[in-house]
Amino acid sequence: MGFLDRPDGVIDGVIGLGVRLALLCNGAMALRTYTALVRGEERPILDPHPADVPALVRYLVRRVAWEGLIWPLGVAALCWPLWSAGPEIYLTAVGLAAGGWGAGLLMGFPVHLGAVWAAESPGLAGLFNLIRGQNPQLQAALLYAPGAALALGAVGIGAAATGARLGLSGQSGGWLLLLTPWVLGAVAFWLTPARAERPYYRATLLLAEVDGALAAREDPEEARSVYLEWAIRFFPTALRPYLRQDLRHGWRAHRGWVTGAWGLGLVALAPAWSDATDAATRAALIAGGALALIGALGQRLGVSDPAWLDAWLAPPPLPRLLARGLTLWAYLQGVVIPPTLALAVRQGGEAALGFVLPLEALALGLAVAGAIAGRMRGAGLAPYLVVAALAWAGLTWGMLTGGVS
Amino acid sequence: MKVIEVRGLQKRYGRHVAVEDVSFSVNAGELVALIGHNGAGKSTTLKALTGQLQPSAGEVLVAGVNVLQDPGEARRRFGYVPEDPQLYDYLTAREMLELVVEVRGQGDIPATLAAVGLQDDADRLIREYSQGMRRKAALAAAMVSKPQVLILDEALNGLDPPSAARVKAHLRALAEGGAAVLLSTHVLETVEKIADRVVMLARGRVVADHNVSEIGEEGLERLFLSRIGESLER
Repeated sequence: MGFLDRPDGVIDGVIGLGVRLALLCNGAMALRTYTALVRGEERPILDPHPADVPALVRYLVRRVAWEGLIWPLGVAALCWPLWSAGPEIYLTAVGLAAGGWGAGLLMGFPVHLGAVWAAESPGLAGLFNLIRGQNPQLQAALLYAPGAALALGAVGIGAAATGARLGLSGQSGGWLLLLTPWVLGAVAFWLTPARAERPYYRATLLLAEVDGALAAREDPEEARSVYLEWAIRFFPTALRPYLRQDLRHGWRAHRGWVTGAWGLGLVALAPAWSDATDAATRAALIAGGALALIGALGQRLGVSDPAWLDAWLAPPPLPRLLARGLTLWAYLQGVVIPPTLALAVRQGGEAALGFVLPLEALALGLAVAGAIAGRMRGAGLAPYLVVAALAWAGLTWGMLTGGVS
Repeated sequence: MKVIEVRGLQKRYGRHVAVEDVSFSVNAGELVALIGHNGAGKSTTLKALTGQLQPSAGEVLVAGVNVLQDPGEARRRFGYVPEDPQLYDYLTAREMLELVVEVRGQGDIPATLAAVGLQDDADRLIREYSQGMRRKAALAAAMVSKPQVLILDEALNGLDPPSAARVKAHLRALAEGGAAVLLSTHVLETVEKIADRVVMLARGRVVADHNVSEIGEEGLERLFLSRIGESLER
């Protein structure tokens, strides 16, 4: 919100912010409507019965709206600093975001039902075959539907942004355009319930086909393969069984954490991909927090360890702890590698080295802390979080004061 | 009068053929058992019949309605218990039936609860139910509005003997009242006790379609083993 410091840039700044938030809310609601309507919990329960589909769709809109209220409320809280520039500035950002939210909510339902029709349309089969990637052709329309909802919502958001610019420039009639996403959404939704029955039921057939096609191509070898298991051969023989056990346990039971580490690494990559002098510091703050978070996997692994089996077989504690620490450290590399590479490309090897060394030290410390927390099972989470928060604070302090890097 | 008609049904998953050229019919007032070995194609056939699965070829009609072309209308005419029935866990069985009656427009809830033996547990939450009780609740939901057609996929599995006997009697009564009942099972005793006719599936094909009265008690098992065994040995 640096635009607040530049009086001539406030209108552009707030509209830019509002449009981004509106698109975010729109996309979130487009995905939520998909989950509720197509893959929702109601479908398998109601499927054997002649559900009143128009009434069901109207109910789902209310439910999704209620469950998704966090988005506009979150935006309203997040934008609170704008109030200092004037209520109209604050309300512009919130109003744009709310419009995006409403458009996503109201357009999501007709678009997803339309996607069922599109998936089965012989005329569109060629197009979906071209853009389906590795997915079954029938799934392509469902996959692209949230994008279509976002694109339609963007039309309304664009008009609302134009209106907001006019309004902030003194043309009060422009404010009316803020309602465009709502009006477009309301019109689209008004047409929906009466036309919903057939596509709603057809979606069940479509999902069965998609799931059947995916199951038919599932590769049992792929299901058995484990992230990083190939690296075990580089470690001493005494350590290998425990490393294999931990890598398999982590990948099969907590895969989200492992892939999440790479996701957070990509988040940290964004500030690192810059020539700015503080790029490394900003990236390190994000990566440090991500390391602290993902390191908690050590405790989760400990909780899901087979306790009785461990007590019965009594594996040697040191190799076991070492293997757990190594596994965690390997998982944490997903956070470290993306921003390090970004800094190496943008600012050279020296900057990357200054970034990666403190971060690797933190990763190592957190891996040890996580492994020990895992030994404490349920009681290990609180001590781990305290240690991780302190370590992250230490890194932050070091980076900000120049004591580290 | 034919109420369920399956004509040349085929379902393929890539190269795998789940059912091939399956044709049979069920008349009003008839209780037909669909039997076969595990993986014979019974559930696939019933899913295609109830609009849960798109056939690769063929046609299915329920009470004269094409299930694929008019899925809502077809659902108004049949009650269906899938192999793995899903229910609202946070409702009681009575509330679940009230919902179904509301949706279908009619139904006798106390009589249906009694028919499946759930009358004493009807006001407990479904999430507290055992597997067998969940199946009873699903059966009750399918039967409560006395649909023209009742399609049950292994619906008697997991029921305690008194409940199973009660449900069988109720199904028989529904059939005698004019409903068409299609029941998939691999329990031959059930077939012998309540079915009028048996359709046997093996490797996705119909290998026998006989009236139970013509087969006789020992004959059903022998027929099953010979027709299905033959097919599996091929």
